[in-house]
Amino acid sequence: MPLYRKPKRDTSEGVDGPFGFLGWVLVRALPVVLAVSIVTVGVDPANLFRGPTYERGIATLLAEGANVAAIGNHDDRLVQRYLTAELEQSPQVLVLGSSRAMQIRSDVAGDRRFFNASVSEAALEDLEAIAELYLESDPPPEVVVLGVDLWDLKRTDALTAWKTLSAERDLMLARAGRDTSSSGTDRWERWRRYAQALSPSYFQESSRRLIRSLTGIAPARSVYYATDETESDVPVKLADGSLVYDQAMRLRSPEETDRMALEYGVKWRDKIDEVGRLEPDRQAEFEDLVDQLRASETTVVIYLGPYHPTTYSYFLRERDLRIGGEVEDYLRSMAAARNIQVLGSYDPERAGVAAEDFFDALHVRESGANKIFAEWEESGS
Amino acid sequence: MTFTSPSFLLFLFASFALYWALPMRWRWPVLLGAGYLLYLSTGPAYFPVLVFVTLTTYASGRILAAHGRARTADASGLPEAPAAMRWPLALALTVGLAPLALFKYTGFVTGSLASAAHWLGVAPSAAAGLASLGERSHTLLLPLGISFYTFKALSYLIEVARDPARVERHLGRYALSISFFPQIFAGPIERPHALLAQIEQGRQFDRVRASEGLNQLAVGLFKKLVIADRLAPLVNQVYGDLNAHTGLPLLLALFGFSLQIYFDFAGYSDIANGTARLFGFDGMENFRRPYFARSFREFWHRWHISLSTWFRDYLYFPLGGNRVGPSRHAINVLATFVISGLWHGAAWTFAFWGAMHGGFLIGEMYLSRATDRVRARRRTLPSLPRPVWSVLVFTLTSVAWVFFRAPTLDDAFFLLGHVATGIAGQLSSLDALAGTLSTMGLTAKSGLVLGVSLTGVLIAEIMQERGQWGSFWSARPGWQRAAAMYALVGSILLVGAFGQNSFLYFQF
Repeated sequence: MPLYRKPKRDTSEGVDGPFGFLGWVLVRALPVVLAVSIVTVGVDPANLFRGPTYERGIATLLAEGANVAAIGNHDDRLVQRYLTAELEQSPQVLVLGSSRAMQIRSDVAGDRRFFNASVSEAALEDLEAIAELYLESDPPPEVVVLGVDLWDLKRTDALTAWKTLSAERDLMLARAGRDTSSSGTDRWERWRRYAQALSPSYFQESSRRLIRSLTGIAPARSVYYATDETESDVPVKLADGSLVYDQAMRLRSPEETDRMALEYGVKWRDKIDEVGRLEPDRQAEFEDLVDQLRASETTVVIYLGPYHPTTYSYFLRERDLRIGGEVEDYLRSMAAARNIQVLGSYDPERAGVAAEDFFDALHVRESGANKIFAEWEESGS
Repeated sequence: MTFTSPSFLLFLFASFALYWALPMRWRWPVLLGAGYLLYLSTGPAYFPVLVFVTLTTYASGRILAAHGRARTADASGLPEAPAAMRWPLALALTVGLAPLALFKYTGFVTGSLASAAHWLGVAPSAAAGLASLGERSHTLLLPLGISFYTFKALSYLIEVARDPARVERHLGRYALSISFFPQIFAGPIERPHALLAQIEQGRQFDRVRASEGLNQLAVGLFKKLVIADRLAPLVNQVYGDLNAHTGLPLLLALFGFSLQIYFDFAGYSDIANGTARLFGFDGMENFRRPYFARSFREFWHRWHISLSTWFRDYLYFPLGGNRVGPSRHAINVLATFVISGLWHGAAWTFAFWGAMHGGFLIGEMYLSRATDRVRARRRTLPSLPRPVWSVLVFTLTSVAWVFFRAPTLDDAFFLLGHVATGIAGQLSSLDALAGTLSTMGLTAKSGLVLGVSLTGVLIAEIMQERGQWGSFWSARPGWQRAAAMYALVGSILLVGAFGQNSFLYFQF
């Protein structure tokens, strides 16, 4: 007998035909649908239903030179758009990349004005769009450090956050004389956002926040604030755009870090080579970006964020595979042809970093970033 | 779009509304279209393979029937295809099996031949060529559900060869029996004639059946999202790097995978059968509390029933079944299970898993005969309590699952060889235990969710096993039944692991 109750006939008595049944189901599902949507829209931990005021406030504080603590889920592309509109002086050294480049701090730039404009889950489209935002400033940055991830040179539908800045990306494509008709303006973005009101994953996160709020552990939604502190028990976005992770992440034990590095390897064991696949179209698009930056008399530096030694050796052992090997070989040859400096490597040994320089499988600590940029400082770039 | 995605719910209700809104003669195209749409939603690349198998087996069935009527007019209803039909049937089966063989077994066969040639030191250039072919064939991705729809089609051909009158002349209805959307990805491997009879008869809406279907669907989602998908990361963490673990994590992964694969596939089968009921169809029961089995014979009457009966009817019986001498019987059992293992995956680990189960059944058979002989002499023989047999069967089944899950035979032997290493130290204190569990990525939340869920399901299955489940709920007032359903749905929404893992059996 299966694990379900055989209902009595009287539970749906009066329900005749399939559409009566469908109505009967929908009426009974209504409390669930209402509960889910009230919790998700009410708590809204990612600020999906509240408009851009959250991002605008963060940008204003950063533009004023303040560190901003306790930023919750937000659209960091929007922050970049508002920030570039408010900045009085554009940075001389600009870092573009994903969260893997967020630990690069202003120290590496010496006395020059520095800003780290890396955004989470960045794709090549983000690098193009944010580069466009800063190239429009006058004067444009003297140096742009491009943090290139192995997934940047392959088209993917998995990373869609860049679509917030699709207009800016179109401008960059147009600079390079590329067709923008197939670019990513997302007509359905708003509706997809509204659909999150019924997303089980978003409901779970909202419920977790709600419970934490009701039990007094933490507010349901993050309320950010300006601070002089650079380290806190919550994440702090420094005035230079780089990120200081929360205390729990900073104090993560080497054993826990090692476990996470291994977990990443296991999860991506059979997929990592697909992630790091090279596509000629994307290579050409990336080279266009580099060339457009150079055309604006900007010096381009390529930064390759290393992987944790445990993760890297796991793939070597299990798959006889260098993570991002083909991508790195391509980037180095492309850079050599243009006399562009490459800092770091996906290979931790080549990058000169060790296990203690990592938060997890693919995010270096500030110490790791500093080791990699020591080479840059020594070269006097 | 998978069965656990919110978009599937929308698809399901849209299909439901369209299906029942149309007159009966238009309902089969709706279901067929839904099946093809669902299949295409996972990627269009392998849709032609589904169409190819459908068309070739349909045509083969028509040819077999014509040939059979001409030659064996008086042979209908035979348990085996009559002699005159054997070669035409073999040809039809070969054509039907060709895509499965190409996509699933080319790499395995060529790789194994290359290894054998290399090991024997013969024909090095041919071995290198085979190895290269094997490598290239690994780039072919296995079309989703191919093992399931191919086996459905093969059983249709065999049945038509046995009784030409069972041929289906209507291509659309035949295509629907192969591509019925609740079963398209991972079964149950419904006998096409069971489904064809329901399609031809036409389905009338039955609200009790529909209610049962909805409840079964919710239970399936619970098994999959709350239990199987919460076990998955723990099991994957250990199996992904076995060398990094000893003792308790290996032991927990060993039993964890037993539970994961059961709740994953039983959950899928509940969703498939529950969905079918919404459209008025009764699907084949695929799982009947298999871990309560007190023997391996009983286990295979309870586990993946649609596949085990398929192999029984179309392989084991034609080989002679148990109507032969003891040695030949043992060979029949072993051959059936090794082939069943290879059906699951083209690797020696799966063959070994099948051989283990064959070995268990043969051992059980000889043990049973021996105890019968002893009982015949002494009349009494001490016997173990029933739960002890269940635990024994569960434990040995779990050991066999190691070969099913491990990437290689060496890995499986490594796990079994190190499962007791250091376990005393890992259990010596709460801190040591917590530290060990954290290496598996087991959080307090996951532990609590799994503990409560598994306890709840265990109680429910014990009640079902005793036949008390239906009467228990029948005696409850309506509000309690409604509250139970809201609690079930609420728990799925609150603690289900959404968007993390596809169903394990989709890979077969």
